[in-house]
Amino acid sequence: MDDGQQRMAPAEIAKGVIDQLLADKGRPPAGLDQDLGEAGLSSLDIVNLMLALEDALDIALPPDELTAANFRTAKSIETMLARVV
Amino acid sequence: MTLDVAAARLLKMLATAPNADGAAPAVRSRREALRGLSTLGADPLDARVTSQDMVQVGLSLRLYRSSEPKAGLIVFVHGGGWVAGDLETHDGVCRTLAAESGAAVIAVDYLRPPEHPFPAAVEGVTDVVDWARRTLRPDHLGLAGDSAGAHVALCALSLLRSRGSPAPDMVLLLCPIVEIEPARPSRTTFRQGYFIEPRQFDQDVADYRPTPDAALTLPSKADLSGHPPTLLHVAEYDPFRDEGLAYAARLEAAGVPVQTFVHSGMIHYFYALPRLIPYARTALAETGRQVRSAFAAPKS
Repeated sequence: MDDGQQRMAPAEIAKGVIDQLLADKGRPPAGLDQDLGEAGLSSLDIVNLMLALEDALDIALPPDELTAANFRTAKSIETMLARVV
Repeated sequence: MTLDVAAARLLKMLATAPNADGAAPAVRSRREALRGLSTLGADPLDARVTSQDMVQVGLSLRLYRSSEPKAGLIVFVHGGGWVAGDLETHDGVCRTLAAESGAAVIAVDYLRPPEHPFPAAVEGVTDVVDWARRTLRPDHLGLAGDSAGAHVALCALSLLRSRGSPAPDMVLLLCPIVEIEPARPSRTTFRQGYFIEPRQFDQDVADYRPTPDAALTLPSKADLSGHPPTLLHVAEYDPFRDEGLAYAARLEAAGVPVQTFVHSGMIHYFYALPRLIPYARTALAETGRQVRSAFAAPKS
């Protein structure tokens, strides 16, 4: 991870990862409160998102945080990351 | 043993998915989903192996060769509930098998249901085995399949026998589906939340429509006497575990040499997901070495 990324907040990194996944599918960025499924992410994209977040933040998400509610919107992901990072 | 930590995490991640317990998805989504999961779970390509795509007997095939001189050849039949899975989903599995066994591997892109119901897949695989033996003339020929692909491979053994074609020299089964009806305890114990969702499986079976006839006996009913020596791998937390073990017992009773491996703490399809379940690397590498030993042994 370079210096620039280390200064980014986890929430910003998460938003970047989500929007990149959406962009890969030709979808526009998600609003903070938008349901990610409705934004265009499939169930496997959500698994991909979990793994990408772990890579980008160099963390292992605690099993208790791997819930549908935590991964429903960008906002709920930010809230969860604030607890675990 | 308890469920492997990495496998438990993956199951938990999959369970967060919207519609995880909803209706079975349409065929296209089903295929995309397996492709997506396989991509997520794959390691970087194994540089010890080269591959070449070709069309033979009307089917797309991918031939993998390791850099060693090799005597053996494995025809590999991919899983994916018959409906899903293709050359890409099992690319990593085939590469590792080729690298670790030293054998060449031919992956078969068989015709899938629902567009091509039973026995299209079985006939295609049988044709490829015949073609490979005739054309490539390997010293040793193995037939391998995982999950639903193992069911297809076992049906192909039956069809080879009815056609009067020589049987392969060995069979490799990874987490095989042997029986269509859910009669064994593991189907109940691991019915929900262990990678195979029941509605999905029911839909896959409905699409596949396996119906035996005089020339093609289903593996659950087949006479196993004279079957090739078999390497059989099952996962502890797999709905299909018990039918795999029962098949091993039937092989033994029929006098067929069989080596059975139960992977503790593992789930269905683990071997194809090394990035998500690191134990897959150890297990698949060992499987490749077992094939190497099987091919090195004198033919019976």
